[in-house]
Amino acid sequence: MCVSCGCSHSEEHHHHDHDHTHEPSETEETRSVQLEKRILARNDEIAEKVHAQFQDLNIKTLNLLSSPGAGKTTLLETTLTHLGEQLPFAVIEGDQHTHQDAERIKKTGTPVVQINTGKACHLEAKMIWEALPQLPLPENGVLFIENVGNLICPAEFNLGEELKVVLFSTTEGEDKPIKYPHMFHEADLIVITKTDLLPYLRFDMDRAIEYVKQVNSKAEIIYLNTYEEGDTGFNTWCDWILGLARD
Amino acid sequence: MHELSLAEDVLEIVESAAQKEHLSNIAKVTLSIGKLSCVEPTALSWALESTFTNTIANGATIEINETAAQVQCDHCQHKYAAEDLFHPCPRCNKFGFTVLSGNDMLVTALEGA
Repeated sequence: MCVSCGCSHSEEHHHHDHDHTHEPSETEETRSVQLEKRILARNDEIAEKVHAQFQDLNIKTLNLLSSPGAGKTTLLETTLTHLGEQLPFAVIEGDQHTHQDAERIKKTGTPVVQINTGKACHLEAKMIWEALPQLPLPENGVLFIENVGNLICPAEFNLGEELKVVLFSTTEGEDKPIKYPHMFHEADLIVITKTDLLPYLRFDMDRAIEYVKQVNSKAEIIYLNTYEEGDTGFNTWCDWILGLARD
Repeated sequence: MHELSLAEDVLEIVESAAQKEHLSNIAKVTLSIGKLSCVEPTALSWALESTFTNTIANGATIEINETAAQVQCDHCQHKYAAEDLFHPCPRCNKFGFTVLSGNDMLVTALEGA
């Protein structure tokens, strides 16, 4: 079936207004070749290479994913400031444009490289592979990859990471997990951010958790109130990072 | 619009297979897209048409077949066909499953001369 118009692409059927044709292919020389090639095979092969390099150096890599503005960079800034002396860290920043995030991370004293994806809406394993030589890799530590803020496209592309962490802020509304189920289904850890704003919002936390559980019954959930030391959620997050690195 | 990235990977697979099979003109490309993959077939089709322009597969017919998804309930281990990522188990009515198949995207056949 032709997915553009739903027709069965017979020779007689040429009247759609899109510009593809359904040329008859039954010439004498026409041959059929059966394949079984995964479209994402190329990305996954590079992701495996990246992952193998991280394993050799005992680096735990986290792919941070969320919509724009959920608080990924702020979480990184505070985490690196708080844990920077306890573990080696490095950061790969992904954005369509600008070096804003890399500049913020630099101020924490952490090695960082910025990838600008241009028109692309997600990071791919090849971009990570090419960025690695630009970084001192944090042996026995943690590498954060902050993906492009987007709840759709990055879900499909493995980057060679150990785990996927999805941030979900209370200002986005509680229904994001079921509106963007692929992203939440892929998450190993879900961090609900900006819970300090709950008194000012109509965010229904019980329903949010119910929605998360509908698409992902296994992911751990951490609630972040503020990003300050002493906040229960932030301490849980820091302990989670330290536990991962020592695993 | 990650479909454009995927379309470039499809073209690479098509070009490589065509070279191996000594095909210089591709008339049809058949894909199989799992029901639980994060791809919109119509968007992928348009991305492929655009990516194929002025290549060996210029104007090729694109056939996209959606394949069913098989999952296993995380609670009672029942295996069933899921329509989407929040399809509760028909046996225990609980949400949460492990995908066994139906989240992959494949190029399955080419036709050409």
